[in-house]
Amino acid sequence: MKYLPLVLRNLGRNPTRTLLTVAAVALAIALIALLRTLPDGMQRMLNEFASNTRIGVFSEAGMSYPLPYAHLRKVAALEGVEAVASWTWVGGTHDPDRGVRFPSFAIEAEGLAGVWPDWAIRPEARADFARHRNGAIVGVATMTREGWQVGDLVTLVSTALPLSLELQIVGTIDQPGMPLLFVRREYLDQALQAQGSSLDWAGTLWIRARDPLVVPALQREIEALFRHSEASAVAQTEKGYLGRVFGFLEDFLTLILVVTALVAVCVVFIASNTASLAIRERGGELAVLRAIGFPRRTLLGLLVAETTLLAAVAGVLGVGVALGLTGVLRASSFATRFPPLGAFTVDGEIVLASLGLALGLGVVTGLAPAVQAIRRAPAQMLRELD
Amino acid sequence: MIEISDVSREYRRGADRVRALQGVSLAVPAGRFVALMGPSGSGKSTLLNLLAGLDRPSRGRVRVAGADLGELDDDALASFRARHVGFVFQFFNLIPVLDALHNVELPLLLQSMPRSERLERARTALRVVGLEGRHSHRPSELSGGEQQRVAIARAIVSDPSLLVADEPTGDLDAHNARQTLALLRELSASLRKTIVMVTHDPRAEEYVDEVHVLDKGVLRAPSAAGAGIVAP
Repeated sequence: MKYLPLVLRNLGRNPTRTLLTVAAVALAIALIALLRTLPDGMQRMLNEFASNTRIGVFSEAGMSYPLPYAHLRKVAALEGVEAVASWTWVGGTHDPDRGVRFPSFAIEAEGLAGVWPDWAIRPEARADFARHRNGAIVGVATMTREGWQVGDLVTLVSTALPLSLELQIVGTIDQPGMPLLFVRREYLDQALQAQGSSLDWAGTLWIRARDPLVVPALQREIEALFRHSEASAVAQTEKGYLGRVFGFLEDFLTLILVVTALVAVCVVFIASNTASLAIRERGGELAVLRAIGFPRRTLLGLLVAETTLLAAVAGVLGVGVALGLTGVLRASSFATRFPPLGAFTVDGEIVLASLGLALGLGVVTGLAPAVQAIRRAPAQMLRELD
Repeated sequence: MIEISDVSREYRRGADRVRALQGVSLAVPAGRFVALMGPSGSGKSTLLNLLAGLDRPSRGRVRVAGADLGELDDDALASFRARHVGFVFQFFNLIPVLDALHNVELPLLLQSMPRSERLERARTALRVVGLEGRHSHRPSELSGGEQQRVAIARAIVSDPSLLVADEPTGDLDAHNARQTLALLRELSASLRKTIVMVTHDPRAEEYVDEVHVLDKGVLRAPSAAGAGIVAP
């Protein structure tokens, strides 16, 4: 502790350089802490939304390819299946100039009730959805964002199909951050028939199994059932299904993580170079301290303590920034528009890891220039002083 | 206090081998104020470094305050310097971010001593060199002569038996140079410090007890001059 004032004085000898170094390291730590929330956030989100009894079935060719609607009847007949439903992408907006503003699907009224009994939809809303052919059930995030109320009449202009649907909002899905809008499949089918077409396909089939234990067997059975059909299918648990949806995002995140890691390495180099410059400027002082009896290890400790203290302050600031940003995101309207944001939190593990990283960075950036500065004999250091 | 026996120091400069000192022997009793003089490159600073424990001889033996410095490793030499040697440099070499008091306190950080005692001893050292009103001034706020006196206070604060001074008047005007030499003389006389000073300054001869002249790494016979203004 007796050396602390000396360390602090040295850090204060060039306040601008110290502040800029702290800012650079703090930014790197904040970035890393924020990005480290992503994998856990994804997992947390999947755990929150996904049930262990629901299975999603989609075309083996890819999630954007349709399946024959007849597949639904076949899977409904399988042993262990409690309820089935289909999702058919409508896309949609109520303002064509602004593009798709929320995900909307056509679904069977009984399917919504049977496959997602756990969703926070009031019983009267479920009943109204079944009763009104043009009824719509809308997630609270979209309701809030669009300023809608239950009972409102809205026109949904499909971006996937050449039609518009006049809808009446009959209820909400009160899951925090839920953006989905559901219309009745029957209503969409009738609209298509009016145009001389029909809805004999579906995007994704959903199954609720009677018991989580039968889910793996059901998955195998469903895939085997359609293996030799004209539209073979893949069956995944809801977690796996959502994971696949987010898989695309995950690849992107991996890329971001790699880039961030490279940025962090660059910051280490910059901080190390700054530390090196700062130590080199003080060659004369170090020579004098060595001469008056400061052992190498004490000087090494003093120099590394400076960079470590600086990095620790930057680490605390960086973690603070990450905590603040995630807090602000959770509280902001972003989280209702893009629910995944709400799942990303800087937890204790990330705080500790980030602070540990900052401390490690401080030691690494200080060690090399410090060792270089003190390894020479004091007489040689003093000669260079002259 | 200082016994140097047949000491040589060689080192490499690129492909060349430089013989900085050749067979130097010197004895300095405790409490003497000795000047090492000679032309540039004669080996004065090399000799000073050897007896201050900053360097090791290639041959021969250096004993200071009872310790054979050639037998000490780096840590032991650092510890020896902290306990027995005070340094005064030509360019003062104070730490610019510390005020006078904390510059003087520096050597005491190496000793087990409460902060209050360290600061009290630093104040005492500043009083001895006549700078009691300048504790909170940083080096940039002090004149050259005052900075050198702070450096001398730093050199004596741990009460070492030996002071080594490398061109202590080299960066001072005539007035401050005389004051510094008089101060060193006073420290030698009143505190019984052994002082070895490398200098080109001819005025130094008036203040020291004896002058040793080095030429091309060889020590010439000591001059009887010196004897000083203050009799030893």
